[in-house]
Amino acid sequence: MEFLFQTILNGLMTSSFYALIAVGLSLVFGVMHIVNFAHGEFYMLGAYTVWILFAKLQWPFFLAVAAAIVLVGLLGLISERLIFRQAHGQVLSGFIMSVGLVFILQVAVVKIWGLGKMKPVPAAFPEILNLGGVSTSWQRFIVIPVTILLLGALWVFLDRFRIGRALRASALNPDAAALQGISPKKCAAVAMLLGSAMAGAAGALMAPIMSVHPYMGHSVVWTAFVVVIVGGPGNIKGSIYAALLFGFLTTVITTWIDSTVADLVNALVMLFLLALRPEGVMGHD
Amino acid sequence: MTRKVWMGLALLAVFSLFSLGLQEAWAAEETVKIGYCAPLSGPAAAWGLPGLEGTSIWVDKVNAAGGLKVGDKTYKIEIVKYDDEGDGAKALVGVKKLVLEDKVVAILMLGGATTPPTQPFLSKEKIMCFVLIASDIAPDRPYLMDVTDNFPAYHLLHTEYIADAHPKAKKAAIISQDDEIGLAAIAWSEAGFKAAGIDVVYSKAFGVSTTDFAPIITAVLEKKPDIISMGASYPEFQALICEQAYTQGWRGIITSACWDFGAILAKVPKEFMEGAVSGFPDFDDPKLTKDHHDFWAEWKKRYPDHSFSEIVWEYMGALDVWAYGAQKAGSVKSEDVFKALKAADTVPHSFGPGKWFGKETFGNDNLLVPTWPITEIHGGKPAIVAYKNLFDWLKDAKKKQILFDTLKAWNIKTYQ
Amino acid sequence: MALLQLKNLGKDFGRLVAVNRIDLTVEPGEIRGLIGPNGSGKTTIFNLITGFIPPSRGSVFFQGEDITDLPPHAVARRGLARTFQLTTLFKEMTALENVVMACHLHLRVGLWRQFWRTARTRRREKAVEFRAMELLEFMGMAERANELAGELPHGHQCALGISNALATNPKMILLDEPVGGMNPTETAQTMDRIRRLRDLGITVLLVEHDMKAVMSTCDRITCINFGNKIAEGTARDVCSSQDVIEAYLGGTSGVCSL
Ligand SMILES: Nc1ncnc2c1ncn2[C@@H]1O[C@H](COP(=O)(O)OP(=O)(O)OP(=O)(O)O)[C@@H](O)[C@H]1O
Ligand SMILES: [Mg+2]
Repeated sequence: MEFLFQTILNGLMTSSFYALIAVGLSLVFGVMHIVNFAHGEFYMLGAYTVWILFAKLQWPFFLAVAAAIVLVGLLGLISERLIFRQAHGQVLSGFIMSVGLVFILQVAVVKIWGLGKMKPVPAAFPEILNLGGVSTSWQRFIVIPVTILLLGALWVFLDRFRIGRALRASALNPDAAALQGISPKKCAAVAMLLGSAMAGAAGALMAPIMSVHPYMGHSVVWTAFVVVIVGGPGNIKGSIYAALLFGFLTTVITTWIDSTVADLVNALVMLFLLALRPEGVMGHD
Repeated sequence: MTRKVWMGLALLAVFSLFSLGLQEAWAAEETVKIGYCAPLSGPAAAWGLPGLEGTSIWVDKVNAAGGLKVGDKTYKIEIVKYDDEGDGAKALVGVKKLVLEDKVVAILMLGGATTPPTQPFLSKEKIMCFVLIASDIAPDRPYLMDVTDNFPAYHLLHTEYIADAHPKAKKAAIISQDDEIGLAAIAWSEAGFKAAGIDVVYSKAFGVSTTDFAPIITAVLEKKPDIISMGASYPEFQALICEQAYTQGWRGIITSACWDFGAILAKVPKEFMEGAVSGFPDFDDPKLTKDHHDFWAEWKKRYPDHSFSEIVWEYMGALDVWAYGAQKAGSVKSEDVFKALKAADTVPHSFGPGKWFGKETFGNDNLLVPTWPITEIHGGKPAIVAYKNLFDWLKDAKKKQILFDTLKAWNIKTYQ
Repeated sequence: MALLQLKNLGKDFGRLVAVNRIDLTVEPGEIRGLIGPNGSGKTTIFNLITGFIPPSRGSVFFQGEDITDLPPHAVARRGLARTFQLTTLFKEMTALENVVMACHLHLRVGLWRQFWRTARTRRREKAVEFRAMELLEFMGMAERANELAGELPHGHQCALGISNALATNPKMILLDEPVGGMNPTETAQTMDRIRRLRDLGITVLLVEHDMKAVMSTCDRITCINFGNKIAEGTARDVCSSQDVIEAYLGGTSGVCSL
């Protein structure tokens, strides 16, 4: 029984993380039609921000997380201006530019902070949380409520604010949105700001939990792609459902078999679902 | 006309540069070069970069004393480094450059992924290659030897020590990543525990791309182990494994081939790691010799805020052995040094006199095995608590049988 | 003063001159027809006016302002709306949601009010929905309000496209084949609605292949061929133009089968 609860808790944790990282990627794809491979590097930079501000400069943890969200969001904004805007919504050139950005960011991080070993980030909340016989650290647990909070904030933004609605309109059909007076460039900038900020948030929250090193974005971005593809690119609700699906799938298979099989099954499930419903599990909103 | 003049001038310039180079080579005749082809960047840099700290201390010391006396010549030593990024193809380019251009007489390498692509060339050229991974030793790699790190053999000693020191510990779980190194660690550890009468309740490899250890540890803890062995998990995994074991409420004995302490203690309290077992002392350990302490002091002076790991001294340890061989042979020629080393009954290893081992397990007696220290973590620092010897361990025929059976079960090739 | 004025406007696609040098003036309150055989450059002119593609030469003035280099959204904001020949809708939304979305984007509410949904905001949202429904009714789409836009028949998609365009409160609207795919009754109804647009004070520039519809609706007609203006004037003037008859020879038989 404990074993089951522990697995459920692990699954929820993983799903939250997947959701946080995938939703940002999906948003960027939806609005800009850019497959942003550098999303993983934004995640990595979020983690580095927490390493520097929290682990080295001793800022309060949540302040460091907030700073990571803002800084990485701004970096996304800048990269939209300097790089992705040149892609003019062409998927392939956008993709190639993003791969270029991956290398630029990785090399920059390596040059500034060095390679070597991972950067140790201590737990901000190392206290153990006991939930009816199963235990985890607060540090891990807070990922769940913070994710819910951030996704909720995003939802409110997209649902209530005019600029949020414009973003959704632009994601659905950029030409139709332009006819309504919506600037695609402004939408792209806002989407990139928000999407990167989400990646930064994910990296910041994960910094004390996962290993912080210049290549940490690699494995994460692949998972995020699987989630986004299955959820339907640009479909945020779909990404959240897909994150839950894969979060639990990965957790359960890793617990009972192993993580390599989990990766394999994830890829197979993705291919299967794609064959079944090419537009994503959710279809359209 | 002018073009011809230009061409002539250019040719002259190239030629003079060439002859300058030749002259330099002439003047430096008394310098012997040793290659250092290891990951200095990329994900495996932690296994290559710190080694330069030890080797540069070693080289400076030898050169400051005038050089290394070999026969009736005295050589200055020069390390020529090449960053292979842990990649096989890059390593092959590197060793070719080191051997053909720089004319190195021996090469220090990490081993593992870079060994298969480079060995055909290095064996053909008869260049000695010192690696840190004993399982790279093979019959068709005559000049490849491991003269420092006794991985994975020392897992037998760690496990035996745990059984001696903790008679109540009856169940062990072993995890490590599913690459060659990790699997070897799992197999040798499993053999060690079984031979020591400890049940192995979980032994499984995890994917190298694993980032979340929560589910793995949940599965491990289901088996209620008293001991968790992290095998040869990479440093970045160790901290995450410990963190999960700690937060999911487990308390017990941890063991691992080596540690990345800075990273682990960022995640879990010191008390959790108290008594953890491994085999790599810091060189300021009171049980070690003055040489170790001197090295420690010099290293601390040069790199005050670096953290110590076995990588710091292991590449350097290979230089010690090479120098011993060269002096014995009275020559720096690769083949001569090799023959002299293999002919010696015992060769000084950093931890004391070592003997050659490996014929039955790796197909070649190219692993230098000393009496190895066992360490326990006390107050966040490793301390030597015992010494154990592999040859003693192997004297027990029953244990030896368990070892070979287990290796076979894990599909690890042996040469018994 | 002219509402829309094209001066020397032209577009080359590589070596193809899609639009040569067009001068065109549309007065406020007019319904202007733009006709020409297939591939003569009508859609290209629309794209040039609304900033979807940059012109190779010439300029566009709207209400006396030079809008040649403005991007599409900026043109839309100045009150110049358009529809596409192949409709451009939010296909994943219902017809009503389409228009509501379009209306919303023009609702000016303070950030704070957007967040807290004050009573006033809610009232305004109700009003928006009401207006959206009105626009759909105007285009005869009321009973299809809750169907997905992407699943509507082509004729209705055209009508919805016009509703969406109207949601921006335009001063002028460019319609690209608005009755394509409609049956004669629907066509007649749509043409009637377009006439009512003029009564609402909205100027119309209409591209249409259905000559009967064009001739009966438009105040003035401009005919182009191979990117050049070949005739301009009332339906009767254009019909009697030798150039127009020649341009259409072999194409749609009898331009002016009035
Ligand atoms: N993006 C483009 N690239 C290259 N050529 C184009 C492009 N768009 C249009 N053309 C060409 O320009 C010419 C004019 O096309 P346009 O679509 O404006 O004609 P049209 O009058 O709208 O025709 P139809 O009545 O069939 O809609 C055609 O020859 C067309 O092939
Ligand atoms: Mg057209």
